[in-house]
This record gives sequence, structure tokens and C-alpha cells, in this order.
Amino acid sequence: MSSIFISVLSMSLTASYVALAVILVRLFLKNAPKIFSYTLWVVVMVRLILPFSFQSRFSLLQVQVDTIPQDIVFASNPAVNSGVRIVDTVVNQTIQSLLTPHPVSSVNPLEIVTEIAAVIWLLGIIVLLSYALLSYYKLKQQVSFATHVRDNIFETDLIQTPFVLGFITPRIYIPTGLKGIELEHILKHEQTHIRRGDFIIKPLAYLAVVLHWFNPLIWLCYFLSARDMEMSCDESVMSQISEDIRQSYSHSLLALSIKQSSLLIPLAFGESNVKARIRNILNYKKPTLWVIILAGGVLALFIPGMLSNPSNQIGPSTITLKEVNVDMFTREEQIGNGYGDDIEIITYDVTNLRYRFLLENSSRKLLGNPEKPISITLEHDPDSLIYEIALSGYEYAGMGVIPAKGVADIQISYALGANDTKGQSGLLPIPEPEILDEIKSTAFDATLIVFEGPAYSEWGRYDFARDGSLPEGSRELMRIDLRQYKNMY
Amino acid sequence: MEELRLFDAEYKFMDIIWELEPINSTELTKVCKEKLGWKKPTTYTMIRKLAGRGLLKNEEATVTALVKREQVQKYESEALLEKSFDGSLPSFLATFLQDKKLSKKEAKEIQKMIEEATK
Repeated sequence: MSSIFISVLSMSLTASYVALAVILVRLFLKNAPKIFSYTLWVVVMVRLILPFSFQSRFSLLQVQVDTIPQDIVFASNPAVNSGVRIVDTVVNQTIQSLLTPHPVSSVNPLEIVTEIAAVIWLLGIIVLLSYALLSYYKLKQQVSFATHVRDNIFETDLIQTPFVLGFITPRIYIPTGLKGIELEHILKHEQTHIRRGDFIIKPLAYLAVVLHWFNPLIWLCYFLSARDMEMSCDESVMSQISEDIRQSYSHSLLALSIKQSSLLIPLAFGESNVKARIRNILNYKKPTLWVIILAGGVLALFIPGMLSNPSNQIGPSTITLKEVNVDMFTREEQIGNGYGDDIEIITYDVTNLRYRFLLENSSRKLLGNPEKPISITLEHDPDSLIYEIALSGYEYAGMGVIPAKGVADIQISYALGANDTKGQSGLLPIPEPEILDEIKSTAFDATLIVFEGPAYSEWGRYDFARDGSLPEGSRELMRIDLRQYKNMY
Repeated sequence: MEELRLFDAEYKFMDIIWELEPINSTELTKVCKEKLGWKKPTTYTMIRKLAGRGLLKNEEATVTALVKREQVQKYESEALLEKSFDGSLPSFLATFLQDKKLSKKEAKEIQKMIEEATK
């Protein structure tokens, strides 16, 4: 349940970016026929419903699409990665300060919060769907005694505004007393709705919105797209009739809306829909070829751009951790001490804790390069033994380039201690066997951080602070809580 | 005299009865199917409703009117939509007009707008 919820959240975020872009482009298309604006909303709808998409170089999305990793709930340091620095910083800091799981009490606040949120989300959906179903049946009841006029048109005096009802065989219901030119216009309008399949599109759109009911931006999109739907329908009616019917059509609209309203209630805010529609109708001109080409061009660029994911996408779904191995070994290492001619080579037995990670790349692109290798580092709990004992307070990150559709073997080692016979600074004595055992058993209480790292330092590797902070210019790609891999060990 | 006010559909229905009475109820459903586009259950429901209001009687599958045409008033409903949806249709249906109500002032404005535009 909560995993579906998390997917929806990710989709909502992506859809929101797309929605903002659509709203912007729509402004730009204000003077073009409304059909173009209306078509733009298709992209938002797709983003709201499909959690996946294809990757393309032409993608206009500059953000990570898999924003919220599925296992965020289990991460010892949960974080999201949206590709937008500000969002990431704010969200992750909030999560850190409020919801980081406490290692000792094994209570995971983030997991609880997510569960609760998922339940609330589900309840919201049930409420909204019930409302929709109830309304639909109420309406059906109202028109149950409507009488047949012709074709698929029925009339009844129990309604005041015409509408289309039905999903399989849609019927046009009109109030009694409509006649002449007014009736003709209205019927043409409703028939255009039917021809375009609006009686299915609109409820579908509603369903998509219901899924994202917590996102106010999506509701805004819904109402804007509904407007575009009506206006482009008006425009279609006018293009179907050869004479200039703008005035009489507007009069029909006005007359019907006066009948509908009480005329005494003042407007809530903004222009009413009727006014906006009439304004649009009066401004209607048969679109010139130029306008069509231009608007069509905008759409041709924009729609695929918004539908596809960026191809440099590296996210939780691109990289998977196939295997983790941990072992401990003692090895002879040599350190040079001194300067110039005075260098003394000292040999030590150093005990190391080594992690080997098999990282698999599912994308067809090489991940990482010599300038920006894929790097890994481990984040340990500051109270843990490994944190305390790992050599000199810094660790060396593992780095590598992960082949396209391939697996890379990247390692991280810690020196736990050396037999320090000369009191060299920075070397700890090899810990007692009990301590080593405890380290082994807690080796998986850590978080693996995979990131796109900076270039190698001059010594061929990069030093990292134990608190898991990443060097300048690196981009975190994913975090994996190693606790889930414990049984593999 | 409330019972003698009929909605449009009820009036059309009574119209058929006045014309064809006495009429077998099954026959009646056939006629209503043709003239009004009603399914059988719809017609039977209507018979039941109006019988309950004393406008007709249905005895031994024969329907006859209990009131005369002159006695009855055709009543055009006004506010029934408002009672259900507060004057507007749920916006998830394909609609012709949507929810914002029109004020007198705005109606005048729009009227003017139309006239100006098509001068």
C-alpha cells in the first residue's frame, strides 16, 4: 500500500513540473485556437497515470524522475532526490530532523508516517469516488423520465442545463422549452463533445485527479483543462457552420446561463466561465495557416519533450545493488616515514574491514567516467564501533565506472588497526577479537551512498569525512540501507 | 390542488392515456417506448406513481384516467436542479455551462460585449 503511495507521490512531483510548464506554454498559446492548449493537458494526464516512460535525448525535464526511492522508509538516513537542490535540501533536512529512525529503539518514524499518509490518501480517494458515483446516480435518476426527441436526444423539464450522460451510449439531455437557433447551437455543441469522446475523457481525467487529490496544482490543471475543453468545443461548433454565428451563439449561451442562475447572487471571484467563453467566441477567427503551423510546432516540440524522461537519468531504478560481501583480513602494509634521504620504511600488519559491492547498471549508458566516476561511501551511525575505530577519522571512497548494462565490483576498506610498535600517530592498535567480532556483526548497520563523484584526487582516490558529507560538486544518486542485505553475509 | 400539477413527462404520459384510454398496460408500455423512448420498467413506475396520486387507475391490467385534461395543469419545474447540486452540475461530467452563477451586472456586461463585437 505505502509503496503505491510513494509511487504516486513521485508521479505527482513529476506531473507538477510538467503542469507548471504546460501552464506557461498555454499562456504563450493564448491567441491560438484552444484546441492546442487543450491537447497540452494530455501530457499532464499521462504523467499522472503512468509511473514510467521512455528515455530520450529530447526530454525537457531537468529533474530526476524517480524522486522518491521505494526503500526510503528503511533507509537509516532517508532522503529524496529530485534533482532540484533547493527541494532536496529542504525536504531532506526536514526528514532528518524529524523522522530519522532511531537505531536503538527500532522505531522508524518515517515508516509510520508513510503508512498513516497512505491510509489518509486512500480514504481521500474513497470519499471523492463516492461523491462522483453518488452524483452520477442522482443525475441518472433525475433524467429517468426524460422523453425522447430524436436520435440520442432526450428532454425533461427537471434539468436546467443541457449535458451529456452515459459512457457507452451517451445521450444528450436538454431542458424542455429550448427551440430554434438556440437549440441548434446547443445540440451542435453537445454532439461535438460526443464526437470527441469528452464524455469518457472528462471522467477519466477526474479519476487521475482523484489519485492525486492532495496536490492542489493538479486540481488547478483539471479546472483549466475543463475550460479549454469547453472553449475548443465552442470553436469547433463555429468552424462546422459556414456562416458567422458568433453573435447568435453568444446570445444562446447568455440566455441559457441567465435562465440557469438566479441573477441575484454576486460573483465569487474572477470572470465567470460564461463570460470567458463568450469572450473567446467573439474573438474567434478562422485560424490562419501560420498560426496552425506555429502552434503545431510548439506542441510537436513540447509534448515529446515532456513525455520522455531525460536520458542522463541515473536513479534508484538504474542502479541496483546485486551483492554485498564483507570480510576481514590482516595484511602487511608499508608506510614510508620521513623526508628526502631520511625515509624509513616501516612494515605493519594492518587489519582491514572490506566491503565489496556489486553494482548493476540497467541503463544502456556507461555510468561514470574518469572525470566523474561513480563513487560509493558508507555512512555509519556515530555511536557505532566502526565509526569509532576506522582509521584516522576519514575513509577512502570506492570509485569506478559501471559498464552499460553491466556489473561493477567496487570496494571500500577500512583499516581497523595495526600492530603499532613505533607509536606512529594515527594508527590504532589492532582491536581485541571480541571487538572485531562485534564489528563484523554490525558491519551491515550502515547506509551505502552511491554518488557521482568528483575526479580522482592526486593520489588516485578521494578522502571523505566519516559523517557522510560528500565533496563539492558531487551528486548523490541513491542510498541503500545495508540492513536488508544482512542475510546474504 | 398540488396533485394536479404535472411535470412535463407526466403530462406527456397522461396525454397518451387521454388519447388511448382504456388501454392495456402492456400496450401502454409499447406506445411509451415508441413515443417517449421509455423502457418498460420506466412506464410501470410512472403508472404506479400517478396511480398513487389519484390521477389514474390500473385495474386488471387496464389503465384509465381519473381526471380530465382540463382539470390538469402543466407545471414547469424551476429549481429542481438546485435542490440536488446547488445550482450546478458536478464538474466531472461533460457539461455545457459550468458552475459560476451570473449576476445581473455581469449579464448586462456580456450583452454589451456581444453587441460591440458584432457591430
